Amino acid sequence: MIGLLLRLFFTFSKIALFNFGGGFVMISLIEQEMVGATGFGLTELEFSNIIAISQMTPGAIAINTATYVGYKISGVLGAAFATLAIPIPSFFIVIFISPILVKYKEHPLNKMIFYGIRAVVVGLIINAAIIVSKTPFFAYEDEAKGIYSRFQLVRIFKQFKLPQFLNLLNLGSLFIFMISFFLLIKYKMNPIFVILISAILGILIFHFNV
Amino acid sequence: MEKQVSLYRLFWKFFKIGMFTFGGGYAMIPLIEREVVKNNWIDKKEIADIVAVSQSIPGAVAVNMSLFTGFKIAKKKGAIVAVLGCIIPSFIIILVIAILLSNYQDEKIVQHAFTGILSAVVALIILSAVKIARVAILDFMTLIITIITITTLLLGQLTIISNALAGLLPILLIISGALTGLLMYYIFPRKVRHLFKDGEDK
Repeated sequence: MIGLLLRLFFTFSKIALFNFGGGFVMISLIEQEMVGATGFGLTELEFSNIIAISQMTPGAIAINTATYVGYKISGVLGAAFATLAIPIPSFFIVIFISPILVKYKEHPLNKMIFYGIRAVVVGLIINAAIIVSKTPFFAYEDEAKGIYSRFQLVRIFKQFKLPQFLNLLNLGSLFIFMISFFLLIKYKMNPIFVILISAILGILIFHFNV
Repeated sequence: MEKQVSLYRLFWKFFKIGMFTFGGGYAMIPLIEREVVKNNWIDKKEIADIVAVSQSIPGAVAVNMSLFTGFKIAKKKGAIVAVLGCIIPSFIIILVIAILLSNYQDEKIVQHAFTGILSAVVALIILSAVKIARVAILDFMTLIITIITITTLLLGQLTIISNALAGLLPILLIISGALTGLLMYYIFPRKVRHLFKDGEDK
């Protein structure tokens, strides 16, 4: 029990120590620990659902995710450990490192460090998009399990079976993805409304087969 | 600027922001700024520093900003009170949802709604990648760094290297990115000079 709680704390403190560039980077940072038998044993579906809920609820996305995962793994105590893992390391960073950064904010070395990190962050966010897209874009093909696992997808990738791969693609999800993208870019719609619309579309398309 | 601010009041201000702000940490920045200005807690120049540094240090932006603002207002106690105010609403709301949803998450209709939502979340993530790319991919070198990052992460997923290593991969990439930036400064100072000229213009 104590071991599990400490592992939760350690995993989420990675967010406090290495998460640059917003909530989505976190997905790349913690996914490996969350999913599968060697991780905390969440399924990809559960992990994706947690990401979705963290987006929709008020507050910092990292905190929402930590609370939810912590609760799933080890109840209220797990939620507390995972959640506190973010502000505790940050407390020391803010108190001891921030004054230095304020003082040297115009220093070239400071700028060069973030020049490199920001470029990596773009890659980490694209990776997050790939991780999250696996669930909606490849779901519901395997009725028994509800979703293809990463390993099955990898196998199909490796066999270069493009037709089979395209067959797996969930066209309904692709459609909702494009609608959302359009609403976000063209009408600059508030993400909360886009999420609500996509939930309704999801129910119409997949549940009632409209 | 040393002003006595009630910790209780500080807590509630951050609690309200944590409770009612949708859209993650970045959406909270202007709200925290407004509260601080309205109450005259910190002078304006300092707030600008707080916003800039909270975004550049690692961690959740909202958490960093609460800690930093609270610290400026009432030292360590202020930092603790403000950050608790910021995260307690999330904690309670998520617990309630997690408990309620555990009864319904196997319902097909709920899962279908989530499939729709996740499709939209992918769009949100890509949009955020594009926004950051605009300020991050400045030249050939940064483009290469981004491409190497994506390739490494994809290879990590496809080859299924040991989980411990795969979990470390993003961290190693971030550290390598920082080091690459520093190396560029020392090895090709002329290639990165444009970065600093831009800064002076603004």
